[in-house]
Amino acid sequence: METRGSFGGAGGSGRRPDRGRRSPGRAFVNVAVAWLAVLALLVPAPVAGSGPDPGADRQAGPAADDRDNGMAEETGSLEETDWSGGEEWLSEEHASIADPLEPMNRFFFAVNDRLYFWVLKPVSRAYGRILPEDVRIGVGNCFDNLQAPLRLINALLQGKVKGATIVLARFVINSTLGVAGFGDPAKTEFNLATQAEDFGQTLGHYGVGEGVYLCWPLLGPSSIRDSCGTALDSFFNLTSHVVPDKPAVAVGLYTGQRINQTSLSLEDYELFRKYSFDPYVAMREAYVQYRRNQTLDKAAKGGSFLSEGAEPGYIPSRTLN
Amino acid sequence: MRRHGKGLTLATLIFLAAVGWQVAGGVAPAAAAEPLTELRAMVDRIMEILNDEKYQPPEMHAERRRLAIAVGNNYFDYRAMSQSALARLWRDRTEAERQRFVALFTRLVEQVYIIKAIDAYEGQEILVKDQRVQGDRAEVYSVVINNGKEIPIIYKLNRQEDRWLIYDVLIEGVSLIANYRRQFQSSKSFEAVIDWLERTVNGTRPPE
Repeated sequence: METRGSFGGAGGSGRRPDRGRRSPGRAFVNVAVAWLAVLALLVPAPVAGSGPDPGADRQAGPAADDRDNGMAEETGSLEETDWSGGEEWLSEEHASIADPLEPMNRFFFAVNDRLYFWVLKPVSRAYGRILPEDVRIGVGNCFDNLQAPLRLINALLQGKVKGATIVLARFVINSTLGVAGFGDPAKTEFNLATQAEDFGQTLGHYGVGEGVYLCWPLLGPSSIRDSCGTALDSFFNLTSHVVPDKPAVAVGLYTGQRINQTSLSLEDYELFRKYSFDPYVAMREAYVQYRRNQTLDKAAKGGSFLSEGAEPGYIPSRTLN
Repeated sequence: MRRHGKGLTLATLIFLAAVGWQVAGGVAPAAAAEPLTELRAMVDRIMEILNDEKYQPPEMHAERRRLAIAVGNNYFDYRAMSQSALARLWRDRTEAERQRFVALFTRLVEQVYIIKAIDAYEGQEILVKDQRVQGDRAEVYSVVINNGKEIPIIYKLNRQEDRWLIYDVLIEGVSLIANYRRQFQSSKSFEAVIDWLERTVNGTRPPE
């Protein structure tokens, strides 16, 4: 009974960050400046600063993951000790992420929240009225296609040869048959699914801890590790190089991508907000769980408590298909 | 049916072959249905309702939703979900308080996941792919295909006598129950949670 992407954003699983975007025009330059400021802040941020990894995404499983090096600390040290009323199977728990900057993060969360309603939503809605949904999905595919180099590099860095091959095949097929990435024949005709790989995941793969939680203005939820990853990503994303030496173009494209994406899921954020007891916590936890899941490719192994000894019959789209 | 005598014979053969395989393989008849089978049955029944011509006109959507929820409710263990979501706050509650919470949380889950999914249904495909069973627990892996994108959904089930009931749903690795547990944890007060639940589930009806 599940359905559209929209619903993925509802309730507990609101992983779609609310990112404020300004409409084109003069304000555009401000966004460029803001984005550069963010980058400037990020780049020198020491990776080592990710320090103690609160890690331990273990959903109560003996199934120690071979690849979760940095994240394998024992859970249970946190407050979730024995609330379960004696029913052990209910007590699957994942450790939260350290959030010492919570007051600041909450402030930026509130800023982003307002920006969503004041800027991103009206702009996306207007944009959605101009272009039919099919076109907007095509535009989304185009942007997606431009991430191929980034994905290829990260798949290779993580030693995922098959994943890298798929990325390459997808890029070739979609750039040609898919008319510059507008269509996705790689998926529809060849059943080659998107391989979501990025530098945040690669860093995690090599044991870099996620560090503390961060909620960036405009960019939304992240961690120290993912922020470094995002900064690296932006260098390898083709949208950054459409017009060399003009970062404003890259920011404009990024803005366009956000608007396009938001126009395809307009209700999501509001639903997420409405059905969250504490939207800040809901988004933080959803983000962390989503990213850990991605980084460890956990779903590929069946995830949590049943992982060990089971055959890999199910391989979800985002890992290997 | 009568006209297809041949088909019927074939079906009988397959059935017998299946029985033979079971016996030969020494596979003991399961006490409970397989979790995968249960999940498929739920999805099939809901899809049947969603695809029914009768319920396509907008004025029939409320009825369609009611029927689909009724099916879903057969497979969800809302009490287990509530207990797990409320975590520590569950323990010191009286039975009446717990029941009150379960009733409200049930409606929340219905609204968030079921109604939203049902009302947004536009012919998306759902594939129930695989299962893993370990004792009384199971995970069933499914995928929703929406606009060519695959959204992985994992159901966690718990065996209760001869039934497998869902106690958590993970969408792209994000657990519904764990997320609410974190949120409720930050509250510390049962009353605040109940108050919010009441406002949320009664506040605004989902769009028709």
